[in-house]
Amino acid sequence: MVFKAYIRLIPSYIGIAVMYMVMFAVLLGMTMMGGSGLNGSGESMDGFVSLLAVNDKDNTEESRAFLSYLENSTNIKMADIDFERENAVQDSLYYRKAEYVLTINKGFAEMLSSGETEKLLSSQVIAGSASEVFTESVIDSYIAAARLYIIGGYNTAEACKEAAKTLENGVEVTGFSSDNGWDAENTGAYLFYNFVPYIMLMMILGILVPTFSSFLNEDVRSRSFCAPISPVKYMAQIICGAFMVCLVSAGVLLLAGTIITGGTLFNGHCFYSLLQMLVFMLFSLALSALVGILGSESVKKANYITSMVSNVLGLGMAFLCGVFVSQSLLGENILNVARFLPVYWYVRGNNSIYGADGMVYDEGVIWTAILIQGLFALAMLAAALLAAQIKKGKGSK
Amino acid sequence: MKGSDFIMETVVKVERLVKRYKELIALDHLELDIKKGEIFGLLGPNGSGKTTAINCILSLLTYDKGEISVFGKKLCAEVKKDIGVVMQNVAVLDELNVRENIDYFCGLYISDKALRKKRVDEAIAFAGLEGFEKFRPKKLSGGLLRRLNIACGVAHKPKLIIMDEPTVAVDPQSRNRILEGIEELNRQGATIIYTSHYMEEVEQICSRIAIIDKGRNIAEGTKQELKKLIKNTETISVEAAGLSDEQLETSKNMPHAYDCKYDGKTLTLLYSGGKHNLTRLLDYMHNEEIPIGRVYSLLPTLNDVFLEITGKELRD
Repeated sequence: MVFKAYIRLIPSYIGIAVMYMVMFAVLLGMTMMGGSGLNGSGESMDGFVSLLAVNDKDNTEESRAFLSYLENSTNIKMADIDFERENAVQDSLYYRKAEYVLTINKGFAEMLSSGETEKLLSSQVIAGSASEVFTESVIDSYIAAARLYIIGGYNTAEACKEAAKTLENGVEVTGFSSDNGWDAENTGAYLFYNFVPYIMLMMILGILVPTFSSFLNEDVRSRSFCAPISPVKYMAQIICGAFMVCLVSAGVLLLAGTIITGGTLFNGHCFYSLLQMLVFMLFSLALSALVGILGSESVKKANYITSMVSNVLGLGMAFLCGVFVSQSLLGENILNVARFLPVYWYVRGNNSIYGADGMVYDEGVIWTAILIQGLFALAMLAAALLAAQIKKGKGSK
Repeated sequence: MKGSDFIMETVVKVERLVKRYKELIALDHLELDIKKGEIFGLLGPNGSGKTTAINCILSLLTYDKGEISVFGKKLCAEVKKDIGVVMQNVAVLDELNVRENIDYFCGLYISDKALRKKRVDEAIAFAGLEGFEKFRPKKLSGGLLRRLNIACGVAHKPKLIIMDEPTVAVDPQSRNRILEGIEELNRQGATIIYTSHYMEEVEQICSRIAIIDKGRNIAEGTKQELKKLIKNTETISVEAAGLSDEQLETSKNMPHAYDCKYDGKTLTLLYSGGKHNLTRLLDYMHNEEIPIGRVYSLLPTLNDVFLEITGKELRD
């Protein structure tokens, strides 16, 4: 009967879960649409064009080879400027005929050969533009490659040709995470599981804390214990109800995730992802029990506590532990604090499962993360039991 | 039909019950013997130990010494089936409506769905909650909420009903309805333990009363028996201005009068026994041609009993 009544309470708080579910769907959908690869390595410059104008004052075989390399670069479009005309450079930059004006200085070949690279080139650019960053990166790569060939014994002209060839072909790198197309195909799944600790915590706290508070409220509990039901059975039925709510929440999350990500949630190493989700769910359940017990003096107070705790814990842990911002971008001090929170270990496990955020797939790391989350869940359960015991002691004085 | 009409079978027996909160002794060798069919009143001021005694009987509190038996047994699941409880604080689930709340608490005792539905319907009718079945507790007035609390406690038709101050913060109309309901439950055969610090309620409905103070049972019996414990049997007040010393002295010496107060306007005489005390006093005043105003003759209340035994008012 307690179980049935507990389930009857759930519709009163389903609105909160629906709200977070919608937020989750929007968050996941938007992140996927604007998303990059798991390591940011899939970032593409497709469609980007830098308007480059070159004034070759050296006009040697080496400078022409360099010019040819620039002309053949995919994301560079050569702009034609009459360098003889006064103010031509300023005008072309002003009217956006060119975004980057490069001058190959006289003595380019000699200076490249001798390694005096500082005075090889000069430029006028639109400061802070993407063209500035991109074009300089292309030029630097070329000069570095050419210098490498020269040091390796090539003459300057050959070095320039080889550098162009090398950069055109690119370098083949086999990474752990890009194995079996894991990186490209599983971005959606990775993002889904990455958001789970935030959304699941908010959903579970939102539903379970007020319902726990209602049933563990001293008046209702005492009144119920006057009936022929033992405290153990009473608690067991409430926990069963709460566990069912958690499972349904997780199921709904998975269903929504499957739809949004196009069914990639159950690929590859999904066993670990689901196990992590289950363990984190148990942590959320135990935390809800603790907050519910602490807030059980009155349901009004519990609702206030739910809202406060959900936001502080949910958002706080999400930001500190790498749900919204990659762990690799977080400062060392923040990560040192985050290590004491289960979400950090969840995200770390998830990064390892998907070889994301600079991590590689490592079962040792994953199991460690899962076990630590399990310990957090146990600690929270112990705290909830202790809180219940203290409350019972106060009530039965 | 009140308890005295039944065979005097003990339903609840409390012997030498002691409950301490550190230094404070909440129950001090409390003795209670509640018979089948009674409406047994536990009367005492706030903090006298009424609720503590109830909580000990219901095993919601542990106690330091003494024995408690209900239906001749220690409290166990089998015994609990026959007990209904109406707590001092309204104990309902805010998220459930009236019917669902009654069904939940009734369901803790009765698993048969059809029987439970019948009992819930009866409880709704008994508590006058028809039309409010779909209302959540927050939408109910204070009186209706109290009635819901009672309905939740009695829906499973228990043989023993324990009511801990069920009329606290209730308007007079709802209070009367609740008191009538309690008498109806008693007529249907339930033994009722009723705690209150409202002596009028206890006098109105209880067949036997225990007066508790500082955790001790200081007096027990029917209201008539309790009133016999004290000297005062009647208090007469007469508005009579300007009595002479001689007239005052004569009034003081009226047969059975044992105390006299006069504030220059109102004469108050306390009597112990005797008949026609009022007639005698009025005859004297008539003969003396003393002009009189309003006249009151008051019988002793349980508050007078409490006052005389403890030296303080019930509502101190």
